[in-house]
Formats: sequence, structure tokens, C-alpha cells
Amino acid sequence: MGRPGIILPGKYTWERTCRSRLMSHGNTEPEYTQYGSLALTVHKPQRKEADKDFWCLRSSLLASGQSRRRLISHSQITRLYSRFTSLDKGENGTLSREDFQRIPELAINPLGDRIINAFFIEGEDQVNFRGFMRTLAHFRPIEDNEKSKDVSNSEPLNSRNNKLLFAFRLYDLDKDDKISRDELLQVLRMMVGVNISDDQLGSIADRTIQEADQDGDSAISFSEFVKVLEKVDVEQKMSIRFLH
Amino acid sequence: MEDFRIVASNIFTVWLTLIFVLILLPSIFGISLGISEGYMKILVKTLEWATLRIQKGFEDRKKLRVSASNGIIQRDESPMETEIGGLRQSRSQCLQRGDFEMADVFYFSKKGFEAIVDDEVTQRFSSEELISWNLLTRTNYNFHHVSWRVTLIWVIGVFIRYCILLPLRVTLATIGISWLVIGATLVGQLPNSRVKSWLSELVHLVCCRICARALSSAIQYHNKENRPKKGGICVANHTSPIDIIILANDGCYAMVGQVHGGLMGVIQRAMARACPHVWFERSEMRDRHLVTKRLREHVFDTTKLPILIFPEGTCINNTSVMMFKKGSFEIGGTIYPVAIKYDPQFGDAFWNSSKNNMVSYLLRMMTSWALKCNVWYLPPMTREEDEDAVHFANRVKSAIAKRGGLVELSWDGGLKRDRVKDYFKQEQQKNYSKIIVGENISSFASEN
Repeated sequence: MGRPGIILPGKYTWERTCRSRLMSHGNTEPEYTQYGSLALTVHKPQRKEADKDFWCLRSSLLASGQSRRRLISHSQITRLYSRFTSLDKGENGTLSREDFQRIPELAINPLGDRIINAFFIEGEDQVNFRGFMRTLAHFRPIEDNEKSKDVSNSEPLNSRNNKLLFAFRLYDLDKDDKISRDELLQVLRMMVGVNISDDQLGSIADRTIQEADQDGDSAISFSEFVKVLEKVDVEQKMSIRFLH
Repeated sequence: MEDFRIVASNIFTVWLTLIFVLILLPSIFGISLGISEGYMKILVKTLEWATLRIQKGFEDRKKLRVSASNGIIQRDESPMETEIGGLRQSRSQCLQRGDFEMADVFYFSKKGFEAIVDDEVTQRFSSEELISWNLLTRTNYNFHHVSWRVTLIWVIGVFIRYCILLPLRVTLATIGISWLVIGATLVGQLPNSRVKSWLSELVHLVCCRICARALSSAIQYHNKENRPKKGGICVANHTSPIDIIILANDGCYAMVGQVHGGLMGVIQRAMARACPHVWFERSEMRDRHLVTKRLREHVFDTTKLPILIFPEGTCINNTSVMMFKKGSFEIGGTIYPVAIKYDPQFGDAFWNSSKNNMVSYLLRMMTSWALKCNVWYLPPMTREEDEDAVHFANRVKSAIAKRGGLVELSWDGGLKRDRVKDYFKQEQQKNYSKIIVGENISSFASEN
């Protein structure tokens, strides 16, 4: 049984620290007034780190609506946070590969392992809430007002380019920014299982590379990859829309 | 000191007398004094008020209302063929349908991410999300707007639940269980006769009524004419061990299960003496043939009580019905399906066995407001002549899901603990292979 929620009136420490951080970055003061008092659930001590992440992310995202439109709503981020904690069976504020594989619908996905891999930075076997959100952000739909706006600072993770890069990295197993025939074959094998013979799969890989390859190195670079997929509606096919 | 002792013993006597007169006697005769009905009414009013207070803070409560019931993201449920076909169409070059495309990974990665954000299965193994806060401790991130008045009510609620209801309920549960153990042992001494089975049913019923009162349960039974009869199998959806008490409140069942140790073992042995239940040793459980044989013997003996089976094999959070294991549908005989739906507003009946043990679960139940539930008896079903057990199991499952208003899932409840079988991934791969090379893929698969 969980401990009772503590009800904190008015301002509270996480937001204060986050706010001072944000203000030092030159942002205007975020609007907190509409969230009068908040009930915080007390978690086990290890969760604290993830909780801190959650509150910081939440407030920074709420604050980042320079165009008066929030990129992600308060309820969406709380939902994703509660999803994160429910996946976190070890209750240590991070997710392991094991935690992801416990989702049956992901476990039956032929590319499940590659997708899970996208959440983990090279050499690490845990991902925190921040990292979880960063990878998920690739699938945020592109809003109309974002398309027109010229991107002055860094490119958002959900841009067409970054969505394509995400897909490219699913193929690029050794991360050398090229998809070789061998890599393509391995990914194809994951997708088709035992149902297609080596010869047949080899000819599929050859044809694909031949079609895409422009500089004659028998591999697909990212720019060639983009060229192949230039007519595909990436924005729509690589986006997940929230209902609320 | 002496005075204190006298006062204490007086209080204790009054307490017991009150319990005896107000609760035990009515439960022995199976009547109700209307106390619990009044309590439920007050409860409903209080919760309604609290919900209003909480919702005042929300700018858009309608949104909240929908969000809890349906998933949180927009999903396209069309099959793989159409989705990937859609990816093809967007290319202007005239490639034939079929053939591999680099863009096909979009489909898989989108599916994967959807599963990460929200999936059908794992959420069924954790407590259901509530639409409004029920003033219990399960504080949800959705319920931020708690005013001081609601907080005050919550504090009063904690006092009532822990200081008044809990001791009362623990006393009742203790009385109920000791009644069962003593009563069943005594009845067990009698020679087999009609009197014995009548007495044993009485002991079981009274125990269940007392235990149900120990959880302040308000149970509504629908379509009583379809109640399971002797020589049949009753199958129901499974939320918690309390399901048994709920069902046995309205009739007796023979239990099927494993022999336990400890307190459960004592209860089981006592019950087995009074009337025939089917208990298996752990080693016997693995032997499917033996289990089926003993169950079949029981079912075809029309003097014996109907068997109660939960074919899901694990507790689900009462929002859905998962795959029914085919075992119980191979036995034969009449199946009496029962749908049980709890009202989560008054307390969460789901037993998350991987998180809480039995004692902490019972403690949580006894400190909840109440246990309100609906039980629907469905018309009996039998296996048709050329129907296989799996199909029959699915048919029964659909009927239960439909009646109880639960989501029907084909996933195995065993996924709570185990990994999904490789077979399902292979099916996906097979589907995809068909898309890229056409139907003639079987030759290679059989060689492997």
C-alpha cells in the first residue's frame, strides 16, 4: 500500500530549482499560477532521481511554449511518466532492456530489439526518464506552426530529418553512417524470420542497394537513404498522436 | 488498574454483542438489516461531493473522463498488409506490390513505439486507473487539485477506515474463518447422508456471508435462474481470491486448487472433510491427464457441487478478460459462465500478486470503503459436437466479456510472469514475408 500523498501548498522546491535554471537560460518566467497546489506521491528513495527529472522536464516543457502553444501538454507528460514508472519493474528510476522486453506487443515486433536499442546510449544498459522522453520525441507529430517556423537554434528531434535518421539507425547496426549489404541482410532477416531463403533475401538486398546507391560504394549513406524516401510521408508514418 | 481492566472487558463484551446481534445473526439467516445499504448511500454521496470539488479545479474535466477509459494515443488498427501497402502507394515509381522497401521499417518502428507508450496487455496487470479520486490512498497524478476541504474529508476517512472499520472487519473475518474450520470439522465427523451435505452447505454459506460482511460487500446477483447446478462447471473471470467469497455467498461450489500450507492449508483440510473439494498436490498439478480425470469424475457425479474454475489462470485488473485456458473446457459437462464486475470507486479489488502478498492485500481490502460488485449468471453453455476446446473456450470468454462490459483480449494472462512465446513473433515475420515475396514462402520454412 502506497504512503498517502503529501499535499504541498503553493510553490515547491523542484519547480523552484527548475525555474531558476530556466531563468538563467534567459527564458521568461513560466506560468505556474494555474497549478495552485499539487499532490505529490511519495516514492521509494531510488525513484527520486526520476522524479526530479519528471518535475524539471514537466516545467521546462510547460515553459517552452514561446509561441504560446505548448509542444507537449501537462497531461501527456504525466501520462508518459506514469507509464515509465509502471514499466520500471526494478523501481530504480531507470529502465533496462529487460523492462522493455516485458511489453508483449513489443516483444513480438520483428524489429523490437532494434527499437529497444534506440533508447540506449552506447555502452549503457539503463535509460532514465529524460532519455526515454528524448527517444520518444522522435515520434511526436510535427505541428503546423512548427513547419513554417524557420529553425533558428537546434533542430527539434521530431523534424523530418531526425525521423529519417532514426529509421536509418535501425539499419545501421555498426553505426558507421552507412548501411552495408551485410547490415541490410541482417535487418531483413530479423523482419522475415525463417520464411525466405538466403538467396532470395540476398537478391532483395542487392536490388535495394543498387536502387539507392549513387556513389558506387555498394552501401547506402544517409543522404542516399533520404533520397530514396523523399516521396514517403515520413511526417505521418513516423508520428504518434495523443488523443488528448 | 483493576477498574481499567473491568472497563476494557466491558467494552470488549459490548463490542462482541453488537457484532453478534447486528452482523452475525443476520448473516446466519441470510437477511440484511439495511445498515450496509445506508452506509453505501452515505459513501456515494460523499464521493460525489469530493468528485465535484476536485473537478472544479479542472479546466476541462471532460477530457479527463475520456482519457481513463480509452487508450492514450491514436492507433491505427488496420492489418499489416494495408499499412505497408499505404507506404508503397506514396511512392510514385511504379514498383509492383510486393518487394522490399526501405520505408517498411516505419511500420515496425511506429508499432513498436505505440506499444512502448501504451499497450493492451501490461496495463491489465496493474490497478485500473480511476476517473475520479475515491479518497483512498491511491493518489494518482491525475488528481492534482485537492482542496483543503477534500483533504479534511480524506483525513476523517482515514480515521474511520483504520480505527473503526478495520478492527470490526478483522474481528468478523476471524469469526468467519474459525466458524468454517470448527463447523466443517464437526460436520466432517457425520456419516455421509443428506443431512451432512445440507449442514456442510450451511456452514460454507454462513462463513462466506460473514467474510463478505467483513469486506462490507454489496453484491448484486443478476439472472439467478441461471445459477450453476450440481454436476457442472462454473467458469468466471478472475480478479482476486475474493471472487470465491463473492460467488460462494450465493451458493456452494467445489473448489479446485493446489494444496497450500499454513492457514490456507488448515482451512482447506477442514473444508475437504465436510464436502468433496478437489485439491491437488503440487506434483499432481503437472500431470494434465490426472487432473482432467479427477475433474471429470467429479463433474459426472451429479450429487457433487459444481466446480468453480477461473480459466484465465491469473488475476486480471477487472477491465478485461484474457485468454481462457482450454483445460477446463476439455472436461465436458455443462459450463455455467459467470461474469463478475467490481465497482472500482469504492476500493480496488484487483490482487496484484507480484506486488502485494496475501496479507497486505487483505489489509488493503479491509481498509477500503467497501466492495461493490455485480455478478451475472449467464445461460449454461455446452460444447458443440465438432467444436474444439479452444474455440469453445473463446465462445465462453466472449459471452462473459460482453455481459460484464469487459474488453476481450486474446493474450494469455500468463504473460504477467512469462515472456511471450516466439511463435507470435514468427507469425509477424511470416505475414511480412508474404507481403514482400508473395504467398509461396512455405517451402523454405518447412526445410528449417
